[in-house]
Amino acid sequence: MRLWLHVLSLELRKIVTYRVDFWFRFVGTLLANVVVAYFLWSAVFARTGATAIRGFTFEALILYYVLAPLAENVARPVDGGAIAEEIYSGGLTKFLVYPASFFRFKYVAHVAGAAMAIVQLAFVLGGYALWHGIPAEVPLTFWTVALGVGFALCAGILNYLIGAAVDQVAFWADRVWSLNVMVMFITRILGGSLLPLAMFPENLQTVVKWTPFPYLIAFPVQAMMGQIRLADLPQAFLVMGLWCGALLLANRALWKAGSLKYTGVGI
Amino acid sequence: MIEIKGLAKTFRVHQKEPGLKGSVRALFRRKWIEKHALRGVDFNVSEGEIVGLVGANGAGKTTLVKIAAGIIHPSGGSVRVLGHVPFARENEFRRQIALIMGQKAQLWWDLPASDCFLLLREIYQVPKKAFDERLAFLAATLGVEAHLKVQVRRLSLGERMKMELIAALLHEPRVVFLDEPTIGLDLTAQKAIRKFLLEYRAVRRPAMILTSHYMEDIERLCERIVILREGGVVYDGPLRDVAGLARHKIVTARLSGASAAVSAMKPGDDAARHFAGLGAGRSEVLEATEDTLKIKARQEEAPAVAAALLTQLTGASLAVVDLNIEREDIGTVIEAMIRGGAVGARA
Repeated sequence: MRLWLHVLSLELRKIVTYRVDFWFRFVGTLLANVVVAYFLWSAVFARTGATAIRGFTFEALILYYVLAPLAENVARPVDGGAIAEEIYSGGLTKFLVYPASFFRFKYVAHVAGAAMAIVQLAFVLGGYALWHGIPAEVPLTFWTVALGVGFALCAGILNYLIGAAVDQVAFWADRVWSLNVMVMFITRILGGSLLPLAMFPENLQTVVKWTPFPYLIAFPVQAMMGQIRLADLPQAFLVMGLWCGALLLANRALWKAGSLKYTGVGI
Repeated sequence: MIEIKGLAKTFRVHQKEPGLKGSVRALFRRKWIEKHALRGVDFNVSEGEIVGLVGANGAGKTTLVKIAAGIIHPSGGSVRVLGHVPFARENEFRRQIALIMGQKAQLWWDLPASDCFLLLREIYQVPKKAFDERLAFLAATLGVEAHLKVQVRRLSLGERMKMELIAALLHEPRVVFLDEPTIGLDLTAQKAIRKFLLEYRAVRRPAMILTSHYMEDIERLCERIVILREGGVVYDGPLRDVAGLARHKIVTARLSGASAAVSAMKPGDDAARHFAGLGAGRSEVLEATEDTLKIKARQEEAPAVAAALLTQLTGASLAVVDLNIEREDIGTVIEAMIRGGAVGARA
């Protein structure tokens, strides 16, 4: 345990060392999300004259788009490809020599990123509440935010396992950047980052709820906004648990077969 | 401590035709070839022994080291290191080995070396007192105390390599794999690392496998060498015996005075062209200057070459003031064995 706390501390220091990247990456994603959503939904609300669409007022929608990248950063703090890069560059070699698990090293880096993302979330949400206020129709409280963050942390395990499985394709394909981009887009579309899941057709919503994606973004955001009922939790944890189990098995199989292919060459 | 039997490794690599056309074609259809990096390699390494693994590029040295360290899986044969199968990567095995790759940074690039060492202390569970003592000893011996707090990526190549050595030895491994540890280093750094490795070996007695393209590394550090050629062992034995495998001797004459005959000689000439009584193709001019004539001759031809130099060069205007016959240096013999041109008997 001491080792992993040490690794966590190192990873946190690494993130803070590159603080320009740390803030740019975050602010860039947040601004892009909120600005696009603001203009898009302003036009939609103005054209339709509606006061709410699928249960979302304009103010609640904007809050959703503020929270979505924050929640995504907690569940998906590290861009995909870190494990693939180690395989491609031969950096995996050093981890194979150490008497410690390579995947734990990478998971601790993920946790460090999530910890920093929680700090960012507190700053941004606090700032937004002070500057703009929380819409009256959104029952957001400290406890709903805590529930959402807790859920995003659990979803982080699922996200890590998805990323690790995709990255291990690098044992065969060397470069998996495109695959990671595809997974990121699918996550953002089906995860409710680009559009709240409530806007999806009913049938699609039912299907999507059995995939891992909504639990990575939409579910934590809805939890923060007080839109999750206790009755929704068992299905959420069941689906996440099943996916985690399946992905664990897939990761093990990929590692077993992939490490036979590893040659340790690279740049 | 290291037992290698019939070790084989075959890689499947794809070949691409050059140019854009080849790249486009490779998108749809690839040509794969099998590359046999190792073919039935056998040898053992005992405690306190440094075995030099020598061979040309692509001879299989690094592949062998990677297999013995558990990085890659062998295609055939067996390896046991400290009684463990390396590829199983049991923690008990990994706690007792170290791998240093001169061409590849193993430390964390973004951290100061001291932070990397603290992390390694946790990984290997080294007690604090022992860690502090070892770090102080290693840093002082390698002269890098002043650089411990510098980010690894900001260190010079020599400093980084010394830090890599410290990182690899902090847990006092019983088996050390050194893959070109002095590559790219200046002479002073090379010497420091060699001296350090010898001191470390004397105190801790680990088994070491060393690969290097620098003959100086091999000659200074190894009593035994294994020469690999195209994935197979062509020599395994004491380094000193390699000298005995030399096929040639070098005959050097120091000259006084001038001679048209010597001026006419050029490096690479068959000495038989210039001296009567020598067999054709059995000796070769290596150097011909105003004051030195150096000829490489087959062992059995060396006395005849020496006699010819003494009798045929000495005249009114030229005198041989000194004559020396010596074996080819070990490096040259090894180089010839690597290329396949010298005696390659396996000890």
